[in-house]
Amino acid sequence: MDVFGIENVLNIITSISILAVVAVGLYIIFGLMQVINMAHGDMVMLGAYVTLVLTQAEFNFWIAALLAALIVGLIGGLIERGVVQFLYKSGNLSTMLATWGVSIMLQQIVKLIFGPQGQFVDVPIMSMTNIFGVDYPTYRLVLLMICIAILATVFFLLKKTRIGLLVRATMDNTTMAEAMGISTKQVYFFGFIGGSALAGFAGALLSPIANISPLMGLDYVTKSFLVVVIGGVESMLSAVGGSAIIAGIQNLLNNFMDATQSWIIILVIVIITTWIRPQGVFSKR
Amino acid sequence: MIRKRTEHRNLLLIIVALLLLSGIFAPEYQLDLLATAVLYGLFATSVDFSYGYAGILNMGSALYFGLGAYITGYGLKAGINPILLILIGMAVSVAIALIIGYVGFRVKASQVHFGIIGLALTLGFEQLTISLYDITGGSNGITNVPRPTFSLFGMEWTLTSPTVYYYFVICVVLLSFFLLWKLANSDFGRAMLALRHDETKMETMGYNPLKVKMSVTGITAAFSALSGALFVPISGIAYPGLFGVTLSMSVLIWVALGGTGTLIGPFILGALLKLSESTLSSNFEEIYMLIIGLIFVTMVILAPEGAINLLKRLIGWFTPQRSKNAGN
Amino acid sequence: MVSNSVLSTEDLHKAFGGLVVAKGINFSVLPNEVRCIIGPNGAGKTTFFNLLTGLIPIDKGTIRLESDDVTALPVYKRQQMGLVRTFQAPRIFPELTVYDNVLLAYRSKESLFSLMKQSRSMGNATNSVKEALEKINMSKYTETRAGSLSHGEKKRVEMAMAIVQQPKVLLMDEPTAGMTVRETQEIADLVNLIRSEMAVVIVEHDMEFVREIADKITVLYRGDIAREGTLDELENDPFIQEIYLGSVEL
Repeated sequence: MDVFGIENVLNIITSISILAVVAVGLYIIFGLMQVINMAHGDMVMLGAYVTLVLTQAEFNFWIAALLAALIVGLIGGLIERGVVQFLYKSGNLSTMLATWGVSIMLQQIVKLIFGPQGQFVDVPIMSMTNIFGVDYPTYRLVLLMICIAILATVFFLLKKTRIGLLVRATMDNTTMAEAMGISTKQVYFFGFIGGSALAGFAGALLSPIANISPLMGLDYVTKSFLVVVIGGVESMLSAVGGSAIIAGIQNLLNNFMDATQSWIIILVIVIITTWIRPQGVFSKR
Repeated sequence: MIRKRTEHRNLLLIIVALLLLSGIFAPEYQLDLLATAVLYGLFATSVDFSYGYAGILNMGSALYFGLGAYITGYGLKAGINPILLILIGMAVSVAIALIIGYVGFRVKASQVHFGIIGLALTLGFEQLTISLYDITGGSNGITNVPRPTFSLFGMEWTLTSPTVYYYFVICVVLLSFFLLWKLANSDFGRAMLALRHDETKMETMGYNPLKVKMSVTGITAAFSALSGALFVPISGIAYPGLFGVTLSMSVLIWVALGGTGTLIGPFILGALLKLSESTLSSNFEEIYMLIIGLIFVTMVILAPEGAINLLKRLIGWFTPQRSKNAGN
Repeated sequence: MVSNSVLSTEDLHKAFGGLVVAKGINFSVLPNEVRCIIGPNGAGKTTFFNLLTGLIPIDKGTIRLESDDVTALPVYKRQQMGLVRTFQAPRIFPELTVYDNVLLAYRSKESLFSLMKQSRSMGNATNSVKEALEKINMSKYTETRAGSLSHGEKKRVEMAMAIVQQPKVLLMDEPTAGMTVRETQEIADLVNLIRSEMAVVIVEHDMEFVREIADKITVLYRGDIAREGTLDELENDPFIQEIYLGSVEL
């Protein structure tokens, strides 16, 4: 495949945009509560499985995807209320382990219900589009545009709306926010729901083009945390920028070397970034 | 931390006695299981050393366990002296730990940041191991690793029988545990605690935080590698999963739920959980994992101080209180 | 600069954005001198200590310990060269006993490996710790968990931790803040006890205390030294009276 050909470039951009949606979801959760949500990748997985179930029940794909986002968001809310909220004062390790426990449970439940083998959802748009002189799957183009739209919407919500202001204020300084009358409890709750819903929606969109399995979330949760480390948590754009670096470089390298080697290069980049710019590439400090 | 020493000592003695007696009375196939469990216990203790005392969080501790395992596995099949292999495994692990520690601590990366790097590192090695199948056997790993026989101090050591290897493991593990225990209760251990509490103050007292933290991570890496190295000849296999996220998270769970900073709690919990995992039928694996996940979640919320402290709390409810003097 | 000073700064500059906390401070202290730094709140006295110890990097200037330039040295290195400080709100280690707090301070000059074993010269260490605890009148508290001490007791433990390190210069940040009259007198006695062994620089607001122990006073105002001199010299200085808005009786 021509590395700098349109097809490859589009693939790379698509991968970046999907990771960005997932990573922005994590950015909201981590930025708000400093929670290392090990179950975040499983939100992606659940989004895919819910879409699977709904499409098999004859739902229209797009409706299924939206419902999946909603349902996964609600599951996120349940996790926050049922587990995470008790651990805010307990430190990093506690939330990480508790969410890891939740992750194990979710994976096992899914495995018990659906079995460990990979599944697929039918691609809702089967046609190809001719773009810049190349035939490219229409669905992927639509997916790309939807991801960009989602990112733009979230950006707009965070920067320009009052709700977004509440979220950013709480992220910046929880104590102050509380003193100003913001119910941080509610912000955390809805933040967790929002972040999970984003991941769930990404999972739904992935379901026609990725192998759906109980363990598919691991890759996403790891990458999301690497995005947070490389990009920083200063703003949503840091998460997007970090995704561009991680997904972009990995996909690019995959043209020249196998997955292992590209992963190692990513690793080296993470370590070097920590050394040169520990606050993240896209942080202003 | 200091007051707990005498209370734990009795527990320790009981465990040592149990372990020694098992060697005599337990059937051979169970000795292998017990040896494995005890090695995972040591692994947990070494991680508790970093986290429970210095507050250093590594989300990829399995890296060092895996390194010790693979180096020993590969070397034993090539007929290299096992003692040398163990030392090499430990040295390589310590070197990596020092490098990562230097990078992470020098720039004062946050606890989470450092943890994530550790995770990425271990995943990287897992991938690396799978891809270098010529050396490492890929996804299958290194199989048919023989039990060690070697010459040392002019004597032939044949550790092929489960009973003999079991006692060998017990000796090494107890010695290691004793060392870690001593370190944690020394002024070095107190310096670790102090550093975690107030790093700036320690700096103004003349302590170099970088040096202390690097020493701690190095020590943890060494004993984690030792555990992995001794583990491989029992099962005969070194596989990529030894590097993975699952083991890394599991050991952290043993630390947290066993009781951070107690050293003995994580040891017991790790060993017990490994034992139960091996003995429970593989048919029940999914349900087992589900229940374990549920227990983890519940315990993290309800008993954050860990199982061993919870136990002490419960015992405290049922026994008359001795008055404790707080000084004068 | 004064060539036999134990601690000195030359043209020290520091600004946080628009806020200038040091504009060319030339400061020096002689060995065995007891110097008090006074000035209105917000004059940057604690910041000055932070600059001296290296907790905050300076913008421009030089800091010297005796004749050594320590400007580029990290915090822990400056301690190793004899610069020790205490904090306004006492910083001790609550999980450890009083004895261990002071011992940890004493043993900071040893290698980490040595800390792993019992000190070879544990006799020396034990004696030094006991001596320091004597000086602050807390010998009975050796096994007390430091976290359970009162505010005043914690401050005294922090002082013991400081003097056991045998500093050349000891920086004390408001040692009498929150102390009773009796405790304040004990601190003054302590300063008099140690002044033959080290230079002491004290940031203070309590003028009675200053009167009792200070050899010389430095008045810090808006990032620079406004006046220096003995208390008698400064007492009637109208500029000093003005910067305190006449609210403090010298």
